Amino acid sequence: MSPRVRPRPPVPADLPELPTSLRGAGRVLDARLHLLDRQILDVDDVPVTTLDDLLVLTADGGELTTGEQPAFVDQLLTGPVLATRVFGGRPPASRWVRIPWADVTDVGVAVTLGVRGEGLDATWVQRWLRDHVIARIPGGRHDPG
Amino acid sequence: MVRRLAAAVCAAVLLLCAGCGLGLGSATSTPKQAAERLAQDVDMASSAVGTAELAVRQLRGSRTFPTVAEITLKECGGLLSGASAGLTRYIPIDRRDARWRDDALRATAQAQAAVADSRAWVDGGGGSGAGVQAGLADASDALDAVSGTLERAGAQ
Amino acid sequence: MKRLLGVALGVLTAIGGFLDIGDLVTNAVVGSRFGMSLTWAVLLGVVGICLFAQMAGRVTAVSGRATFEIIRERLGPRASGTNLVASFLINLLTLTAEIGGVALALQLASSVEPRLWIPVAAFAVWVVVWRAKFEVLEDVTGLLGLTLLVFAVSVVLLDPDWAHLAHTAAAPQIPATEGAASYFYYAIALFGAAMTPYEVFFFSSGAVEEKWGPKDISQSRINVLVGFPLGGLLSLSIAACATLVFLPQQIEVSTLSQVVLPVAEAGGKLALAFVLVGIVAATFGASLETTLSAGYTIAQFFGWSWGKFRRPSQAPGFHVVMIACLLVGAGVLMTDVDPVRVTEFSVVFSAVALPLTYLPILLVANDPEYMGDQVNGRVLNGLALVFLVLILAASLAAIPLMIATGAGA
Repeated sequence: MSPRVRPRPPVPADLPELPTSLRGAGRVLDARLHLLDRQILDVDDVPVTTLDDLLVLTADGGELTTGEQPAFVDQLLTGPVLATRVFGGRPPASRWVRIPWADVTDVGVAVTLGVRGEGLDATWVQRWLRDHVIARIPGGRHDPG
Repeated sequence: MVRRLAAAVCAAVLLLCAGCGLGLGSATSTPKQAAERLAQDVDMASSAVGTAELAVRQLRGSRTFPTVAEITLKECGGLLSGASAGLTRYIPIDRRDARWRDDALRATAQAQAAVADSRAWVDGGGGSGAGVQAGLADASDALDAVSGTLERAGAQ
Repeated sequence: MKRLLGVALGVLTAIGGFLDIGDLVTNAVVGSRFGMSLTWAVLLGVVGICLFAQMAGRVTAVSGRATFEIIRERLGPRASGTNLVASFLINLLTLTAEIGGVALALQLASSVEPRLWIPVAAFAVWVVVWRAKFEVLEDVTGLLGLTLLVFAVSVVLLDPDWAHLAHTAAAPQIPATEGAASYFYYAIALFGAAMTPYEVFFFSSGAVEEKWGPKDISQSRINVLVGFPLGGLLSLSIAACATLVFLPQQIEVSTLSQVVLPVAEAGGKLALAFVLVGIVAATFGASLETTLSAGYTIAQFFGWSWGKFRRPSQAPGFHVVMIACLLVGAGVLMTDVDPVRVTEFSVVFSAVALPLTYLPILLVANDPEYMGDQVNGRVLNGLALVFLVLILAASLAAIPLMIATGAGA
């Protein structure tokens, strides 16, 4: 259902199965199914942005090269990357807006953060529009009605 | 991937051609087709006059507001202008065809005058309700006559 | 009281969605040219929109997410991006037509030229969207739109041969004066007019704004089953009025003033007053819906904060999109384009874009991750699949038929 836009090497046939039971607390998530394109909400349930990509690093902080190294999700990635996601290609690292995985408190139908959206880079467009367009129109700060 | 794109483009072109093919019946090479083409504009004019007649009758019977009647008549005038413009744009293929077009133009012009008179009456500019209604009826009859001629020609 | 307000949401969407300027004119055109022989298209459209709106409402109530958010999540950026572009552009086209419709309706009431009403109408729509409470919005336009019941009353007052009307509706035949291509073109137009996607976006986003929970599903069912058939009934009444007054005289409807003529014929000035109020309310309500839908689709796609219940300063992108849309719509209208013509195009293009909206809804309504144990039953799925085939057929046939008939000429 979600077409992968970046070409990647074929999956090796001898990949170990995903763990189905774990000792200790934890959940098994499919990154494409449960994380990609999901809504990111802040601690007050206000929408922040959509999740466009994940930064996955190996245990020593390097780039992931095979499917067998232990790895962890470091950051949620978003930003003005719609064109590359639709048409293909990789944007430069500076184009991504990053949200540390450490801020994530819950993954359900949406990804919930434990911080307020106000201070995040991901919402800067909204802040800009608010300060330079909405603020110039009377009545923008009042509750509706 | 390229093949899929090519297939999609072909399908789109085919669909477009199908539509154009179905619609190419507007060429006017035979008298029957010419009659049909003229009949379209005459029908538009007839619709406009019919509507105008209804509006005037309603206003005389106090069944409508003057503003609504006025706007209705204004829009009828617009439809008649459109019909007249369509007829003017038409290029006749022979002398009989040209005669039909001229008859249609005359009838449409009569209708435009009748609708203009009606509008003037609604605005309080003179004329009588009965008078403008009769004018509209006459214009309607003229258009019906042209319509009839075209229908008979189309049926041949 | 909450229950009544819940029904009001359904009634608003039904009347605003069914009876916008395009529906008003298309049903009258169809009635004047084809009589009641296209009743089946209206009925199909009613069943279809009931089916999918109910599904969308259920999905929203259970998952707490609005339709376009779910479309993006399930289809990924490419497909949902295409969906967004198509839906947004058609929405903008419809918005333009609706504001034109408000101006035309106000002209009928006041004799003031539409071009002077267009900026007023666009500004009024913006003010309501900017400041008015959502509940007030739905109550006012819903109640005022109910005056369009005068069309149904007019049919009765015109004293028709009911048996004949019913017969032409139940045993449809293409009239001798029309071709098969035009007949099916208008069938698609009626179908598309009834099932416009913006109704669903508006309906489900409104459900999130009113914070529906699973227990509101039954409420949603009432909204849909009361509201949408009501809209369908009014559509058929408009067609019947045109059939009774215009068809015998071979008058073809092409303007808004012709649409109200049968009502004056039937009930005089009183009925005419009701219908004018109703048309202003319906087109204004539809303008509000399409404006909000434009904001909803863009904001939900990009993950922005959105909502009528939020202050504009807390949902800035949402409001900026709506302002931009209103400016574009008003700008286009000031070039003197005929709003009726604009709507006829918007209705047909809506039909083309239908599969993009309804397929994702069907998919998500079957997804246990969003729906838990409230996924579609087999009967519902069967019915929905039948409609999906119909929608695809209409979508594919729309453009060729439009070219073939010269957009219904």
